[in-house]
Amino acid sequence: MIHDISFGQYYPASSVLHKLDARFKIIMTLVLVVGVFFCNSVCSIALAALFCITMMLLSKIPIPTFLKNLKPLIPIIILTFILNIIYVPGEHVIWSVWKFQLTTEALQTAVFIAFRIVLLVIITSFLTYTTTPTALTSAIEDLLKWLKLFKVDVHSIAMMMSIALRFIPTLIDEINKIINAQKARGADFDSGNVIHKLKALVPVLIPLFISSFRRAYELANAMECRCYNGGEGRTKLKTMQSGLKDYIALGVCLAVVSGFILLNMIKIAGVY
Amino acid sequence: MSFIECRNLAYQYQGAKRFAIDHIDLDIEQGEFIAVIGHNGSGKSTLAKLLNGLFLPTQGSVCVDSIPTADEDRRLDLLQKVGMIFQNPDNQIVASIVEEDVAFGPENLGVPPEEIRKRVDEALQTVGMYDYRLKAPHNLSGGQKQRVAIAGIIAMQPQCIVMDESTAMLDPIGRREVMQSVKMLNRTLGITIIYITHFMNEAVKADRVILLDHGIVAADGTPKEVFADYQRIIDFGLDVPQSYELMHRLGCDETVLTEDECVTKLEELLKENGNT
Ligand SMILES: Nc1ncnc2c1ncn2[C@@H]1O[C@H](COP(=O)(O)OP(=O)(O)O)[C@@H](O)[C@H]1O
Ligand SMILES: [Mg+2]
Repeated sequence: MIHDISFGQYYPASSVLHKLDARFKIIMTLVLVVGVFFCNSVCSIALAALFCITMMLLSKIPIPTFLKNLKPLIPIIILTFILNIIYVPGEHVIWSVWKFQLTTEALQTAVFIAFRIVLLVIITSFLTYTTTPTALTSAIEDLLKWLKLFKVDVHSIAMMMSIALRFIPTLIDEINKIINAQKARGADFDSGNVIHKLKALVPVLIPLFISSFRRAYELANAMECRCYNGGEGRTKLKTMQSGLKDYIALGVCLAVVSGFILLNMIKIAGVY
Repeated sequence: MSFIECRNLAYQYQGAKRFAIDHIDLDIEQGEFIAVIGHNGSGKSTLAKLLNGLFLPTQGSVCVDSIPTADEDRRLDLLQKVGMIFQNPDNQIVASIVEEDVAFGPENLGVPPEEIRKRVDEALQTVGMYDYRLKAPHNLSGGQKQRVAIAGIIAMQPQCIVMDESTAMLDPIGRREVMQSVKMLNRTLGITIIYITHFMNEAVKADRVILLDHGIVAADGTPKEVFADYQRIIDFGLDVPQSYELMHRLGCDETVLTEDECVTKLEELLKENGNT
């Protein structure tokens, strides 16, 4: 069963983060994502974690909501952790068995990378949780409008994205309904090996596909009935306005990223 | 000249053998509340789509407010004048936030942002969904979603709303909510309502009922007139309102359509019998 997928879903609240200009939020997210790759020491990772916790509190979104996003990533985090421990070369051997050696360097890299993945997920979820899909797509449309010079239809791409985001929960509901209907007819989704499980998904995906085409047809009709005629001459309920607070927020992000780089130079007890 | 005029209107789907709408004449006045009934495949949805120019007539013509639907240059005007609500609420909600969805129509019309804000708030208040303006539509009940869809249409300030079986997927509470909102729009804002339904209890609440059968208008008049002949309605493959069914089985010949009428009539009958 597919349960609530919260990734990419807006979480309504009235916080400072919710009120920032979506275009700035996208840029800030990019800055921070790049910044996290520079976090190479205990101090800079601590700063990043502190920054994320402050942002979580500022966003007025319950912390478990953020943690939910991490759950599906746990296998990936564990896998990269193990791979790093095995393959990163190092000199200070802590423990060794047969050909395998656990070194301080490998352990350190593995832990840092695990932390970085967690931080990246949390940072990107700030963007999607505090920005409505409409604002997000308008912002992308605005940031990419120079592409129009190259005859790229930026408006249509943005519209497709916002409709895709809008339909995620609807399609999840539908998948669950189909799965239940197939189970009621004796389909078995839970036992057997991976191949068996994938095969069991075919009778779920086919009805989903067919109904999606019907939905698309009906939605197109409904949009036409509401006078949708492409991006030409369209106005927006919420005009994007950047103000002092957006520049301050961007400034804070740049300062934090500089902090990451500076803190990389500080050693604690011989390790970075 | 009537608000909507269909003259010798016919529509044939590509590859279909017969006309889905078979040369009908129809006049609809501004401010009417009309129910359209008919069995499955009788042409109700096709007629609805002909009224706002989503489909263009194969033969004959449709004029709305003196604009022929075939006039390419006035297409947007027409879509704005005649709003349409469909059956499945999920497939007509475009945005992920209620108020942004309601704003979709006015945004397309190029209305200035402050004016959109005003229209969105008013429309949501009209259908009683203002408190939900920041919610995600997929968390609402079916009836609430349809009311949001209605708000999305009112925000375009249409003169007419066509509802194509918009209550078919709702539970009784949702149906009642939607019916109340629509009635209110008709009474207070004078919006013409064309209400396609297969619930006869809803149809009898309209001022006028149009019965379609195989693409032609088989009956057109007040609910009392259309439902007068019990056997004829059954022969068209339709139900009759519960009250009517009950009274018919009790051997009463009158056309008793609403619950209130039914109660009064029953009381009368009982008292008569009590006296003899
Ligand atoms: N896309 C289509 N292609 C061909 N025939 C259609 C199509 N849609 C509907 N029809 C036919 O047109 C007739 C009227 O359909 P419709 O207007 O949907 O009826 P209703 O809404 O009253 O159930 C039916 O006989 C139906 O089979
Ligand atoms: Mg229909």
